[in-house]
Amino acid sequence: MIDVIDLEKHYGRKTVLDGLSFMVEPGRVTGFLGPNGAGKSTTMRLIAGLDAPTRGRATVAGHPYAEHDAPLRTLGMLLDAGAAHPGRTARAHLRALAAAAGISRRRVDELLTMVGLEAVATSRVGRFSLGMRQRLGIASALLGDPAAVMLDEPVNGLDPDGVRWLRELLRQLAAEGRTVLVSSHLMSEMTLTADHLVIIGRGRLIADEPLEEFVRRAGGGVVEVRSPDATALRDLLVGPGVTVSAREAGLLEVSGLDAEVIAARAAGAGVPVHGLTPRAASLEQAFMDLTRDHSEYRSVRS
Amino acid sequence: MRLGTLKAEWVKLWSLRAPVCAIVATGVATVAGGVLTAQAVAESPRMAVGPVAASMEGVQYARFAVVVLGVLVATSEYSSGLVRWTFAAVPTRLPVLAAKAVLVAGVTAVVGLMTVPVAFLAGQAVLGSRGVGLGDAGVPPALVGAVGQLVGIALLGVAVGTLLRNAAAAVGTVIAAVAILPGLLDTVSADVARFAPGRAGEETMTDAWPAAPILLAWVVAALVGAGYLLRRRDA
Repeated sequence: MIDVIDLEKHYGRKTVLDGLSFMVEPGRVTGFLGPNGAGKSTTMRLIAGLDAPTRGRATVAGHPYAEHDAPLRTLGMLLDAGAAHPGRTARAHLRALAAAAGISRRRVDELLTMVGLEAVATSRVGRFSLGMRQRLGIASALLGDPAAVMLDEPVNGLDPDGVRWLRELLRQLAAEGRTVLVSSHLMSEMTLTADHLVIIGRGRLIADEPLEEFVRRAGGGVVEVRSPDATALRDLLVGPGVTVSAREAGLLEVSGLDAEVIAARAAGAGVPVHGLTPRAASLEQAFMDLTRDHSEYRSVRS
Repeated sequence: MRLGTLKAEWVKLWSLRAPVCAIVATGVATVAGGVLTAQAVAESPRMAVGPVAASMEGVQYARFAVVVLGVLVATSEYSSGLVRWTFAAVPTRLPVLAAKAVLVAGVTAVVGLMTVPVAFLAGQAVLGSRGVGLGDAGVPPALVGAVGQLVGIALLGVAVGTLLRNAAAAVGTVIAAVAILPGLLDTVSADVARFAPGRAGEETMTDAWPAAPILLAWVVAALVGAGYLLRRRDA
């Protein structure tokens, strides 16, 4: 279990984390989402004790990471795919890490096979693609057979095969009862992998809820209805659990009713309908809506 | 677990080309520099260089190689972000610096002990009748001082590399302290220049007091500073 308690981090005058609290439970995959610059990587570095918080604290299995006797057996992490010296071979990199953590060389070879790098174990990391470095990073994270795993943007650079492999791996780790925290700035990937979402923006918590909850909230299903007699149509449709809003003259947005029901009611009352468009609310859109006001960097729409 | 930290640093040292090259360069510079200088002295009898100093001239060049060795052992962590793994494995951090220092000191001492006597004997052989023997007055302290100087300067490399986290900046800084600072301070006074780490290192070979303690003080101060900041800074 990872517990983040009121974390605050300033770099100079810049506030990166601003009173962030959440808990990562074992036995499920927790997706850690936020736009670029939201503070995801910073949070992970603070959890791993690599950076010191300005205020607040983070614990892993009840204790600050640095206080564990065998830290890599407590929490495995992938913080930066490039974090291996380019001049060292994959095997030497893992062996050095294993030696520092008191882990056997046999385990190193086991993991090289598991992540599919055994054929390039003696190649220098500098020749690796980003996807291969991600695999090496994932091997490093799992070296100590840790009870908790924390991966920062592990999907970056993986090919479709690798993405599916990682997805299955994460699900399996969670099924084994481990705590799994995976960051991403892509909602779509998380909907396929995560059970639970922690969404942050500008260093603050925006949402901490089950994926289903988020999907339900986001994807109620909106139908756009075009009608020259919008007012009459609206009166026909409103009711408990149904919201109708006017986008512009002659265009309604209806949520809570599906297109067939709307069409049937309109036909029954003789209200003309010129267009009926079910708009499957995309989770990506919902995520962007949710984080819009918390984005550090935003592209300007012309 | 301390042993594991040392073992990890050992694996790291020998799995990169550059530090291994620096180790080889240290030995080659020590021997070749000594032999070539002895040769030059043998051919021009009027050169005012003693036989011991001539054969130890290569150590002056080997200093640059051990600076590179010490610095790289420290900075190769930062150039690649590897330091995050290193500190994730050893969150208390200080054992990492200690392991690096022990390893660099040990490797430098071994290379020095193997090549400094070779440089001396080869140099004296080149000098022929003007050469001196291993047991002659001042010879053993000179050889020990040569090895000690290399170890001290290599450790300065580790400390400054840890402080600056950048190979070019750290190599530049240590080489300036070793090779340039003494000359600059000479313009003030030779007594002041003796306190520069480079001059202290050189004098360790001729007169260990007070040169050796001065060099040691520099090393200890730099390592303590490096350890202090290592604990406090974000990785």
